[in-house]
Amino acid sequence: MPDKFTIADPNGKVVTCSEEQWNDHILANRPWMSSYEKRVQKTIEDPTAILQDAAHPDRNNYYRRYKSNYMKVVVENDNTNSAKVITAFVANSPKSSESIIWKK
Amino acid sequence: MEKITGIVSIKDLKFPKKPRQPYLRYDRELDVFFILMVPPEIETVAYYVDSHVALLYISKNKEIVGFQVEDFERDFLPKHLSLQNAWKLSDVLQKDNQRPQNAGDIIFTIQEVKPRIVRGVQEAIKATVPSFVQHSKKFDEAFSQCLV
Repeated sequence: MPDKFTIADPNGKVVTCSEEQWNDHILANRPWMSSYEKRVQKTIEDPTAILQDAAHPDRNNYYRRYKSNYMKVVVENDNTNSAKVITAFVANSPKSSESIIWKK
Repeated sequence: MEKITGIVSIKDLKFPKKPRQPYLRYDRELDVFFILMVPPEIETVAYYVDSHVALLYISKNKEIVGFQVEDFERDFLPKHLSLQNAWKLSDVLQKDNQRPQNAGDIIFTIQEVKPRIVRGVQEAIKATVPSFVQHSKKFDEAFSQCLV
């Protein structure tokens, strides 16, 4: 299946979202996310902060602040230079257990 | 590095007044369990109350309309025995001496099990999220209404 999009993060890491992940996990769980594709891309490209996921050492969570919430994009690292999108949704804040590894 | 704080306070959130049938969804690959009291097409915001549980609220009116539980089978379920019992369909079928013969039996069983799972998640959230104790009465009301 083709990729939905590929975006470089501020550190030059190439992050890919597959069509399968977008349709079967992002839209299937939250159909309203269909109108937020650009925000998901922008969150990876220009995040407010990148946090280390506490439960999954191979995952980083990208947050971008909007007016009344954050777009959160969960990314799993393949290696130091590439990663794939796991899921994305809107959150009020990060979990308290997440730690900041990069901030704008 | 400084912390990123929340935009909305938990004090601003409120539970629904009208009874609603819950919509349940489990994403096996992501290991995330959702309970929604509105159609999934309604946009919601996740408000994390601990490392696994997030309240889902509607941004416009701050109404809590559901829950998402992350690392559900990996971390959350093993900590909650009553929820485990409801979750394991084989146990439920064995306990009730049922054996599904067709798709109708499975649909019926799911309908029977659904309230048990919702109650199990409700109790588990109350047990694991101390900050929720102060909201437990409203929490119980919202759940009991949606399970009628």
